[in-house]
Amino acid sequence: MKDTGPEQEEVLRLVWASRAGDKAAFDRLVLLHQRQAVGLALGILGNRDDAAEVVQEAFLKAHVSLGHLSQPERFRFWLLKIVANEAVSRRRAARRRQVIARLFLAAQAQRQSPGPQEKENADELQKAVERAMRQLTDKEARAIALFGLDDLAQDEVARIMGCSAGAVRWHVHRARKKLRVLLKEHLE
Amino acid sequence: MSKNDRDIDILLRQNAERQLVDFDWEGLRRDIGRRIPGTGAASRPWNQYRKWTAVAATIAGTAGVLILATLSTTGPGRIASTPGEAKVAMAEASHVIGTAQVSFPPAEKPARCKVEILASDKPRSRDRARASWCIITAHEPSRERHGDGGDVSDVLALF
Repeated sequence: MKDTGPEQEEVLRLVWASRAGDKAAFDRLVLLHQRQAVGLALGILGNRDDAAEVVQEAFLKAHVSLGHLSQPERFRFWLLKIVANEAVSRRRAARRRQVIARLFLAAQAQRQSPGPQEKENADELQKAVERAMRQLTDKEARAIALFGLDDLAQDEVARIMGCSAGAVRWHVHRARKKLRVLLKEHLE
Repeated sequence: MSKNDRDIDILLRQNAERQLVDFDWEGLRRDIGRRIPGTGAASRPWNQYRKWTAVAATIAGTAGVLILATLSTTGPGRIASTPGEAKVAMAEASHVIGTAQVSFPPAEKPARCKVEILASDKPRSRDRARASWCIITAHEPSRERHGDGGDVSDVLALF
């Protein structure tokens, strides 16, 4: 399925211009897609600071690889795939770090004094969601985050994830089931 | 979708929306823009492989230099390319596999000997004449010996 959004023509033009080295065109591409990209990363990671970093990396990777994009009209899905991959990589890295130095990180987190952003991070729901998302498998987290994006059809989610629509539904089902248990307190 | 599923989706959405209320979108774009090269920013596919391109170019260049060096020192045509200055020159043109007369400098002391011409795989054309590898495998007594009486029977001449 092709992206048939209203800005499709503009996106195509911007992709070509960016490929030709037009920095302003790429900035416009970022502007058009940043909300969806951050939304996806946030959905996978549950933390906006991590999401912002992931999206930044994803846009930079997209910029470097624009020449490889064989279907410029599919820029949005291509970008979301990069964002999802980056976010999952970060999850894995975080998990590895946790295993290696769980105690150290816990102690460090306690020592950190809360700044303006940390105050918001102190929000109970956010912490709970972040913790719960970490309990999901990479595929489950990816599926439910992509599902959460407003205008993404099920088959598009499947294409981004590289699996069948049935598999996507299965991962989403599993993710919801786990989250229901993990976020039980917040659902009541 | 069941109510439970819907509740989970709503909860996740609420969490995301709350976190994005005061998200610094400008800052994100600024950071991305700062990290993107100024001109000719979007890379072409070959940019991804520039390391390998450089390696391949180096190898090809080195191979080219080696081939040129080899040809210029040992390859066919070197002697014929500078007629008159050739160390060995044909006294009488011959393209027939068999024997030919060749002369040896210095010119004031020409030496002649009978040589056997062996065909090369690819005769070269130079100055309208076909040149062949000429391998001297035998010689008749020459009018004068070459140099200090050195034997010429082991000379490999390339015409």
